[in-house]
Amino acid sequence: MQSDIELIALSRKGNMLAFRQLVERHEVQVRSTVIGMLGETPEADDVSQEVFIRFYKALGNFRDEAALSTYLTRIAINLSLNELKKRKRKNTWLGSLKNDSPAYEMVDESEDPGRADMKDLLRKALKTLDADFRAVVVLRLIDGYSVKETAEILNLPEGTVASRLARAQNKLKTILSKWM
Amino acid sequence: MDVNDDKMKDKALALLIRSFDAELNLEEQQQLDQYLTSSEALRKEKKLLLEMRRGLAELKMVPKKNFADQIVRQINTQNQKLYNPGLQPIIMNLFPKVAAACVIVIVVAVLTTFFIEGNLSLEAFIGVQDLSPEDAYTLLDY
Repeated sequence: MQSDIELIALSRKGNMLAFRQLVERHEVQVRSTVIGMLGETPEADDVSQEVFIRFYKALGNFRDEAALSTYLTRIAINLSLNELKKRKRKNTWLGSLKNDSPAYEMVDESEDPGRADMKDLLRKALKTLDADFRAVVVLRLIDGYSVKETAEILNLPEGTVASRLARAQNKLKTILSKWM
Repeated sequence: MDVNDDKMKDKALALLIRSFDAELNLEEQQQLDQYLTSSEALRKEKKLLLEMRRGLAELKMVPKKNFADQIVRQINTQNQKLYNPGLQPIIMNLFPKVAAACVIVIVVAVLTTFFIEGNLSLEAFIGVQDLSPEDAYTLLDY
């Protein structure tokens, strides 16, 4: 099996089969990150595709010493955060048209989601976290990066990541115990 | 140590959560072990937290059918547009120049009319300001 670096070198020469292999190899990682951040929405698919298109365009600038999965995850997180900002702006604008509607979509924590399974409960609970906290949970607990790697991807001090992680878990636990 | 005391409870929970992602020092570890031994509620919290973390780790997606195909197709389409741009970029490029030229022509026409006719009425613009009805009749004869 060819390494990422070999496939990148081939992709740079225009070999689309090699690039396709890279996409297949990192698809799960990228989609898990984006869907963790945005939920299973049509935009999540667009953002996941955009991650690889941006990577293709930046093939010439990609430094081989960086791990490709970390590089792609960083793009995925940044694009997801942009998408969330866009969504919030849109909802704020729509909210200002209808005075009684909330400024942005929020999950009602007191709402009983019914007999949903644990995965659904977790996805719902994730939506209640602020984007910055959600990013930490997605990277550390869904993608499985270490606290140090998470800090590098988000460009934050390790202490900040650890404290956000603790607060996010505490909030998730509180919500889940209400629902379960 | 009373783990039911609110302050102590928060401290025990904080230690517990931190223990999943960071190595506690010996003293902290001993403290946490003591809390866990003495508190049924904390043991329940630990169980819930572990279940939650396991659940989150299972949120990994499965590969989506045709995902790679869609991306390759999009890249090919974009490359095609790059190498065979068609008329659109030429039109887009020319549009501001054409618009600027139109504005200049309109300004010159307005100024010329104003200086020659002395006003900016519709008659002055279409050049019939000084025509009398007889002139119009004569024109119809032709």
